[in-house]
Amino acid sequence: METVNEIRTEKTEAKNFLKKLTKIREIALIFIIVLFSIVLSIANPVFLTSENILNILLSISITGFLTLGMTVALIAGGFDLSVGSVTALVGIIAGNIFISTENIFLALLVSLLVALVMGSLNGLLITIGGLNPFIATLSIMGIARGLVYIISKGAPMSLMKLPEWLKDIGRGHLFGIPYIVIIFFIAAIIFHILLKYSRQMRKVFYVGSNEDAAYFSGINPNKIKFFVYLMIGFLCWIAGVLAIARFKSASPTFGTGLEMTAISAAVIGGASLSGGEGTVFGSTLGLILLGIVSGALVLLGISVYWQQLISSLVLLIAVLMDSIIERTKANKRI
Amino acid sequence: MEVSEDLLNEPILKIQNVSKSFPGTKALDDVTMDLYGGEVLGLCGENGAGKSTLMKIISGGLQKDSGKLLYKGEEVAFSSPRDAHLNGIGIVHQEIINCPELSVAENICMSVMDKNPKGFLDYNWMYKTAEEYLSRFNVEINVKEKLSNLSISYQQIVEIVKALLLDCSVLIFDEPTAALTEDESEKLFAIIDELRKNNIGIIYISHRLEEVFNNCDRVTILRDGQFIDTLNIKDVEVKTVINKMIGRELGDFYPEKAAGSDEEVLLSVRELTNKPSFANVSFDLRKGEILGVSGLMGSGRTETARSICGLDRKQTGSVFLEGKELSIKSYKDSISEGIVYLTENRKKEGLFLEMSITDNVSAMSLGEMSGKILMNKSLEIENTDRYCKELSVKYSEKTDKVGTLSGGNQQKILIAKLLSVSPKIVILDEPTRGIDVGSKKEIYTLIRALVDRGVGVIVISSDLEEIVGLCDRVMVFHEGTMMGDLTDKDITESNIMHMASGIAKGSNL
Ligand SMILES: Nc1ncnc2c1ncn2[C@@H]1O[C@H](COP(=O)(O)OP(=O)(O)OP(=O)(O)O)[C@@H](O)[C@H]1O
Ligand SMILES: [Mg+2]
Repeated sequence: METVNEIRTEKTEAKNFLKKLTKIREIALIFIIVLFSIVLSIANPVFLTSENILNILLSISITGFLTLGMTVALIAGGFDLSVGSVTALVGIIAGNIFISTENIFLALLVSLLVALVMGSLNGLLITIGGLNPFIATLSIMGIARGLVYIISKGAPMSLMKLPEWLKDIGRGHLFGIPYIVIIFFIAAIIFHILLKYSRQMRKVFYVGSNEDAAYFSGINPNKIKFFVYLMIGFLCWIAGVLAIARFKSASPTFGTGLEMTAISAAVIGGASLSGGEGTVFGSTLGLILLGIVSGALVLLGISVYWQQLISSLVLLIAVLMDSIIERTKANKRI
Repeated sequence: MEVSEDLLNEPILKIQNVSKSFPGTKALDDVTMDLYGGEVLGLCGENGAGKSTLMKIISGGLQKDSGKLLYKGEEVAFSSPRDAHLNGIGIVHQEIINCPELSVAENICMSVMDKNPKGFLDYNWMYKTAEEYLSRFNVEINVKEKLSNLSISYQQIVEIVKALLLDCSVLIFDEPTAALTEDESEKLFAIIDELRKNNIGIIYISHRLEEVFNNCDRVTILRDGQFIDTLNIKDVEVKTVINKMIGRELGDFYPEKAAGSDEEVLLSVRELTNKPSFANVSFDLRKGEILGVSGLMGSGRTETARSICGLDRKQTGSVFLEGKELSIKSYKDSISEGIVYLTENRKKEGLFLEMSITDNVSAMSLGEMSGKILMNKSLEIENTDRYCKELSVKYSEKTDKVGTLSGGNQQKILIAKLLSVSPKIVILDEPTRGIDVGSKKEIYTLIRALVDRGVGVIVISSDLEEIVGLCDRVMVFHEGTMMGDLTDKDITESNIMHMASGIAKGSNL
């Protein structure tokens, strides 16, 4: 009987250890973020001022919506390269319609429809068209960016006449915190809960984990994937609208490279490119880390040309650490 | 004693005090056993006893925590499967591991590429080698075919042939016949016999004890990661082996058959057709009976089941449940009508290997396990607990990934998933493939209990003994048509074989 008890305790210990291991990602990220902040504030005391912190948060909030979408896409076993250009397209179309009609509701409605159409196109190409998400979303990325240039003729448009309420969303504060930051964090919390606890999102995990097995459990993988890309279209619309509200302009080059930032953030946060894994909490921490890194470059007076290189290094180190941890966990194939 | 004889009696492989732990499980606990050249050593144990783990350690796929491995008298520790190959230890894994997008020949020749006489890829050489080895099984497989286009049984043959090519002194077969037909299994045993004559040491793992008794010289038994005993097949009874495997008396293997079925028809299928897989299939499933479906691989059994459930499209025909005609357009419709299907392809179509036990069990009953939007976690856990207990699933934590469970326990998780929707009709495709005797008995008992509760059960199986032992009525398929059914005393292996090969027709047709 004693041996049975021994095995029991051994098992619970192992269980706790395992639980820690699975949480290690978020904990490690928080640790790294804190460490970075301490080092940076020693290097430059400005870093820890609330103004600077809010600046960093503001800088990641719009990309944040794309990261939310990307996290879900990765969990479903795909990804979406078109998010940056669809966001730009939303801004340009809304801006264009607003300038010619002065009707902001029409502008918002049409841009919403366009974003949803782009999302659906991704979804249809991947499900019914049977295309690889890389090819499908790469094409839509090009098409959306192309439309941006055609509509804008390559010139940015100033939207100073936007209605006050929209401008307020872009520049307003609540207790000193920009509305945009608040909106993003509320969205992130809602997404975190949905991803963890909702039925629909659970189906996304099943599909990403094993599409065939999902089908054999009565789930329609194509429906789920279509839903995912449609939802990403919607998130791009929010990002696009917040961007014009914040900058009071729409630029044809807006959002270039944001898809990579979103993928990096999600992957740093624990999403897997092979599907079935990822959390909003992790992705958000990943995004904050990337935001701190680029903010730090500015503060430390390092040329912005370094930014890409350093962000990529952060990504590389994160995934490398992860792969090593995974392998020691499985203790095989050294 | 003479030196030469001493050498002759020296085991080719000695396993000494080997232990191995995974997080939460001690898979092997101080195991010591020997293998001699020129013998076939059966390895028996329940699901999760540690058989595959031990074999992976011997063949370089896993590293042991402690203990020693002596091979041809020298201590060895293989760092990789390739390292083991080069030293003459080969394995046919329980789970088929291959490159589905490559051709049969490329798969077969994968690990012997450097034996290729020319420096570059010589396809003619590959085709010839592959054909030569495949001919031993007497099957018609086109070596240029993409592997993923082959049936599971042919893929299994490719796996076996791949290992035969290696020129081994020790060859391990981890449940090689789980996916083979009777005929193909016989061929395999002939090959194993040949290998034995060439003084090769063979370890043979199977949950079909009949095979072990017919083909092995000795049998080693593991239980809960511990070595229990090694016995000479000649001096031992099947019952003794079973008792040692499970550590208690098993009792009657099959539950008692139904006294006589009700006339009440639960499910009727009329003129169901989906060419070229099957045509004009009609049958009734009555309340209180276990309906067996037999036939060779590719005879249309699985396809029929899939069409009934809306997993495949049907061309014509109708399905009635309790007298009401169903219009099933997708598997989801079928589930909501209460008709569920257990896939024969556990890894590919059944499990979410990277997800937890609970997630796997709830996958089909998401509606029941949730409110309007959010999942009800405590209900999920309760449900998982209930079925894991009923099916006695062995695991350390419900949050464990299903991929870490042993084969039999994985199968039980799939059955738990089906039962979670409280189905009316359950179609089980190869429900005991790769499952140990103890669990088999549990599953049989469970099937009988379901039927007694009024659930309709159809069992598709290639294991004739199982069909004969378990079912009250048996339908036999041959090349996409139903050859009729057998009842009572007519349910015998030879009757079924005759019908399955198209020689005889059943009584009711
Ligand atoms: N990679 C792994 N991670 C964690 N646990 C594992 C892993 N592989 C095996 N185990 C555990 O080790 C034990 C032995 O598993 P093993 O696969 O060797 O059993 P087996 O005797 O081959 O069973 P079966 O007859 O079902 O194939 C089981 O409890 C299993 O859950
Ligand atoms: Mg095994």
